[in-house]
Amino acid sequence: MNRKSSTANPLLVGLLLMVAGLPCAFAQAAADDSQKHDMSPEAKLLPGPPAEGSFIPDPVYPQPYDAQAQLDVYGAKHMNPNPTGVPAVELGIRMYDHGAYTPRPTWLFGAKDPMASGFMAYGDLRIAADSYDGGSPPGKKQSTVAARLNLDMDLALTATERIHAFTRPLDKGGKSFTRYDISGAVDDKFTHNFDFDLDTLFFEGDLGQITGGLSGKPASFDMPIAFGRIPFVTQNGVWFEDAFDGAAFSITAKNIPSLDVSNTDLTFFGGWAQLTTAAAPGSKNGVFGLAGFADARKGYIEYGYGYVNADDDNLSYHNVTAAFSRRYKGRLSNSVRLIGNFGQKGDPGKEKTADGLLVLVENSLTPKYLPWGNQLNFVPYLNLFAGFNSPQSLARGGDSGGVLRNTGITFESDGMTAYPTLDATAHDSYGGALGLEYLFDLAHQIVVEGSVVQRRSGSPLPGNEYGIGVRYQQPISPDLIIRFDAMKGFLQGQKDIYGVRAELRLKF
Amino acid sequence: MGKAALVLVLLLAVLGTAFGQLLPNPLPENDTPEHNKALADKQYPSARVCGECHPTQFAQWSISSHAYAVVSPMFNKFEQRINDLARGTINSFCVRCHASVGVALGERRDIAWWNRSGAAQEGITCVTCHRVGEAYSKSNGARRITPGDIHEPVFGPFDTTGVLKAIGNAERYKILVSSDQPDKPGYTRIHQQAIQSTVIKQAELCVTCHQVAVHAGIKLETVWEEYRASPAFKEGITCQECHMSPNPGRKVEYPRGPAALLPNGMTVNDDRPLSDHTFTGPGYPISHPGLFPIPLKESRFTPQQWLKFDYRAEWGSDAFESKVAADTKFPPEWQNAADRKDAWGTVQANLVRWEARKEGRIKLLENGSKLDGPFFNGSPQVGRDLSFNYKLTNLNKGHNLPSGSLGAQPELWLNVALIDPDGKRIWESGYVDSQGDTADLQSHDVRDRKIATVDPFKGQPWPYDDQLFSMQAKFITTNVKGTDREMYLPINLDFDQLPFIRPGGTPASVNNHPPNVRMEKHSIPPLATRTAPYKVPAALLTKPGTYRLAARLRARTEPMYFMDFVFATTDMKRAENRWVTDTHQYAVEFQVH
Repeated sequence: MNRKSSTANPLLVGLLLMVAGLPCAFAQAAADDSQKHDMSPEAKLLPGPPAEGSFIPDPVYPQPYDAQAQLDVYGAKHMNPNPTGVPAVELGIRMYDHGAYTPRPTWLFGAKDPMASGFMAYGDLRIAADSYDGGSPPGKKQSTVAARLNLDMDLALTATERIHAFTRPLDKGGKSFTRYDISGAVDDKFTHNFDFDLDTLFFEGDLGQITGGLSGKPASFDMPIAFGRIPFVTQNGVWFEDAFDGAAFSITAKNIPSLDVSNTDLTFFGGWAQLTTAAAPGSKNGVFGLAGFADARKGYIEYGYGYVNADDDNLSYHNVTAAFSRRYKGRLSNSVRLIGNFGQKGDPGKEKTADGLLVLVENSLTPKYLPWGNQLNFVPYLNLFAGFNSPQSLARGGDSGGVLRNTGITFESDGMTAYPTLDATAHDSYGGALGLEYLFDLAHQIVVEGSVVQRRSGSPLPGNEYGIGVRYQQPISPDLIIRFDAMKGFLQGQKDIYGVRAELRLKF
Repeated sequence: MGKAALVLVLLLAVLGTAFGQLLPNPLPENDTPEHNKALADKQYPSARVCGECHPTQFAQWSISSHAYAVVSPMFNKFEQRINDLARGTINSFCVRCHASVGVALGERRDIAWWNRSGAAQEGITCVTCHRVGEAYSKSNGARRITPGDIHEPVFGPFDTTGVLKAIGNAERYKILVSSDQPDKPGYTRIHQQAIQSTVIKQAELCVTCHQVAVHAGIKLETVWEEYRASPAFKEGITCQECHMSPNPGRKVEYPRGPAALLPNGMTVNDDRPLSDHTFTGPGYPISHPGLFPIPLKESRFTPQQWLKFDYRAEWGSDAFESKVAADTKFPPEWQNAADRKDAWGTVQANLVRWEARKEGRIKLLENGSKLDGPFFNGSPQVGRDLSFNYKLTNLNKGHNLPSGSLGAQPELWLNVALIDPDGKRIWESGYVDSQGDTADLQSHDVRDRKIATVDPFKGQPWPYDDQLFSMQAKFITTNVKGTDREMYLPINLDFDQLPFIRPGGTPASVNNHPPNVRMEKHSIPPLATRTAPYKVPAALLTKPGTYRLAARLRARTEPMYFMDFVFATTDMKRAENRWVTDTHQYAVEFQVH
């Protein structure tokens, strides 16, 4: 092929110039169209664009051209060596790798939803040394080294369909971890809890893509679906954080022009077993409900309804929630969450276990001025709660902690040992956490916090609780991160609690 | 769930992968550049080769965002930053779309753009679409580009009988359609077949790169799902019909003309619809202007030479060269004044095309939106707050306003200023600070309480723009405890400062977003109208007379704070602001009594 002769062709040069000129011709027409504006009768349209100087000018850049900086844009790119960046187990198509694809098999869901099969196993290994005193009853003082392995297994089937499984081989049910008890209530004892039972196993896909593929036509709709033992999380885990045996589907990414809603989703879910709730201990609880989401009013709305069909019918209950999150004046981030429980009959002669209302008001501030560092990484927070009677999340898994886990670090255990917390149930109490997080340069973190749980008058629960906590976290290599926590709880009428811990986490 | 389930999963994993697709198959690395280029040309011909017979399409494409995809300095900076943050676990995710041929060739993600081979330097090039015959749905660019030399069949949307006729008369047209045929003087090598494809004219072709989510379900680009919820989708209007239209953003009839113009002057299929390969969108280039658009004939200056050429000092211009001092130091590559003059000519010619592209995106944005106002609430009077509003309507049926690449980057905001009877600017919203950021949470000047030097804030710290009317989406991450806040990227660093990008542990697609991270949209749905309310304090209206309200809708592809976050260069930021797109610019006057 003779490239030089063709590129020198004057006809082509003429064509190029003509093409370059075409948009200008259209642009002229656009300028006329754009000048039609409805407005108040008091306003009189002036000819042409606004006069020079009408607006604050754009920035100027007096700095000279920096050739080396421009060369480095392309020439200083680099890889990121990470020993576990690629999981040890990776079969089939490698995730985000380079290379050419071969033609895709279509035997599973057809030509319009071709296969993209790959399997990965990944997760993290956490090893923590804890020393704590869980308070009353006596005997909760313990020093221990415990381990937790989170192992995810993901089998991609197509671009939109996959099977995912999760297991924690070093603990049983999220309660009893493989550990070495050094001293305290238990001295010098190794306990192994190997358990390869799956904690979750679900299929996730898009019904639109599947039906489109099977019919040989482009998908005419989108409908994400999931079934199996599904882990489900809404509202940062406040309303729902659990895995249940069931199914879910979603109507996604819609908009509502009349309400100026940019984006809205609505998810329906139903399950027949395995739902976990402190209101109805047992593994055969069923559930159904919906969870919605909408970007609107310069923030976003979350809402939901669910019904827990408990083993013990007297403990079944309805649960509704609504939340609105928004940032105000560039300074205040705020979420207001409501969770209401109703309809539970209660076991005869006993208190209802899911009844009442929880109000959560979560706030964080962006400082107006910070003489050092980046204000956006400096996050003072004040999270308040008020629980009336015995409010419950719709569901909370075994290691999800109480409903106040997202209120403060002093309400959060470590998911491995009996590291103590303040009462995180919000039953008949109010209070909050006042804390400060600083993320430095996004590479490490410190959190300090003070918290309080006040009992409502007439509450049958033990006395008020006050806590302080601190956390520090920092990566020490591309795949290792260390974390230190400490907390002290002052409990009225009970023995005080404390805990200190150090954790090493290997990600792979 | 028992161990049997675990065994089942592992069995499925082995079976699924065994009967699935083969691995992406990288080529040997660290070969000689010449060999790599020859290999690349043999598998994925350059757009320059296609341009020999399709000069109009080449010219349109050469200035497009598709051609710019891997030249883009912002892409390169951002791609590096997100890989640094994710410790390499996002690897070739970005380049799979942006350097579609490069990644298929097995080139590493960190290779310098100028070291990429052949068509790999061309971003989304001809073969990226015209060598794809299958549908891939939401695959984040993971699709197969059929390898083969120039004779490999291509896919197109229109009737292909014309090219078949030419192939049938190969001698008359002086074309060669097989690599078995030896070169002949005056003959041109072309594809041996053109296949009319339904895939290439359907919106589904675009979805692979225009609905993007990293694993874990974090949505980055959502144009596709917005389109699916749009009136355009219901009416059967495709992406191509608006974005390859001669009237950007509107479905109109394509002009007609020859599908190909051979170097010997002969034409093929003289009366065929001609789609516009400029793919007009709101984006714009900010690279060194010597590098882009991609020229049909390779520049005699290398990219490294170009990047040392100080176009800002106007090297090579008559004004510069006539005053250049004898002791002025130039890089070795630019010692020769004739070279500088030649390069300056290229820069000027390229900038003419950048201007033409700007006119195209102004047309697109004005076709897609309508601004009305001001509408006064009551009669404007001295001593009273002046309350008014503008109304912005998204006329575009196909997706939200704005939409486009990477959710939280494109900015679209309203800039309104009030000028008093003395011609003094006394109030403004939608202003930019000294760095070019709107005065919201992300503004350095607002956060640092920097003193403004311009009216109406002269002498006081840059104020937060409480009335800012912006449609920019934001990425949101949950704080370590409690509510959430804006973050540069949809990666939660509050929980984990060692984020790995891995498939999510929850079915995020049925739940809007993965836990603790999401995109918050502020865009206007198709055909919806949003009101921008404003109030000017009474204290600023001190005298009766004729006031002016000036308005404009501003569009920018990258916010300055985000450019800082990815360590963009000063020249990139300068260009980003230089080419900001202002539309619906008008002023009104009114009386204050």
